[in-house]
Amino acid sequence: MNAIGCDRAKDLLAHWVREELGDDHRRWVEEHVAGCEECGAEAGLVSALYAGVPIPPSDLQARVRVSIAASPSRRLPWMRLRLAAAAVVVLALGTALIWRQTPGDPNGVLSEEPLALTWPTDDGFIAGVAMLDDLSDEALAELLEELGG
Amino acid sequence: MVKEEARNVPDAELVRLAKGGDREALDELCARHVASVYRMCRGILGDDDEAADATQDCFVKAVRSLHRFRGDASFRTWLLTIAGNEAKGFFRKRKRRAEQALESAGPLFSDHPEAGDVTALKQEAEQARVMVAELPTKQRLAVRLRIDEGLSFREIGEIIGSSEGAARVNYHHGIRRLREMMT
Repeated sequence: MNAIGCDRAKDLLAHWVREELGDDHRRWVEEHVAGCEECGAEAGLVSALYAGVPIPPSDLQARVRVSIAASPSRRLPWMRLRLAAAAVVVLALGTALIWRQTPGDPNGVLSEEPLALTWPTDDGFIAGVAMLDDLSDEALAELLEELGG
Repeated sequence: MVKEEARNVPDAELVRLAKGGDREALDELCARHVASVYRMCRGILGDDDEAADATQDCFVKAVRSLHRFRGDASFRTWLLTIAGNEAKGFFRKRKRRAEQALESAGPLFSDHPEAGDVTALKQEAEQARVMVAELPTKQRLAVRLRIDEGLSFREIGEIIGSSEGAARVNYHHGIRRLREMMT
């Protein structure tokens, strides 16, 4: 047997044992294997490997189906829609609340000092970083002590 | 789509339907490929229970990322690539557990009963299967994917991350090595 024939036969052995070859190719492989000791031995090994193919548990497909159904990803598109809707509602409510708490001229203070109105504070301790600059050293120390406690 | 119709529909069309939320299409894809995914995981892990768990996780991940599948490779190749990665993840976890167990365990006995079991296997098919587990990973996967799944060398290359030619070489080297081991 020539090397090209053996290479070709060895390439086709897996398809041969799986019975995936057309009649012409199947006959050619069988004739080659019958007359070639080297390829015959390899055909025996490939057949043995194919005979030992692991069989999945009978309930595996059902288990896969359950896993998919239980996976959060299956609900993801719906969850995204719900989250988006919830975000819109929260944004609308927040805007309405701020609007209601804003006194007087809508073109007045809000446009100049938004932090002072959106984060109202009596003592200057709650309003955030923007107001820390105005604190004295003593007041800042007191604030840090409160936060630490 | 009804179940009987789905059986005659190509993978690509089933994937399109499944992306749109068609439950029957998704079920049919699972039914078609669950055994291949299991064998792929089994080939890497060598353990039935772990392979079944990895198969479940593989499908969950595949469904989760189905919208990213564009059809550049076949659905089966794409799915088996996920299966391979999932099984490797299981393998790494197991290795870590084994290392932790070794650290806390006492001295090992050299005549562990399982060592004798392997040599006692009589049937050629079982012996071949056991020997495949001894091959380097790429050779093992190339042999399993070629014989168990009937994949082309190009598809095998896509899954193991090599060229078509390298996949072919891995397959033939694996077979040659198995023949040497079995003689």
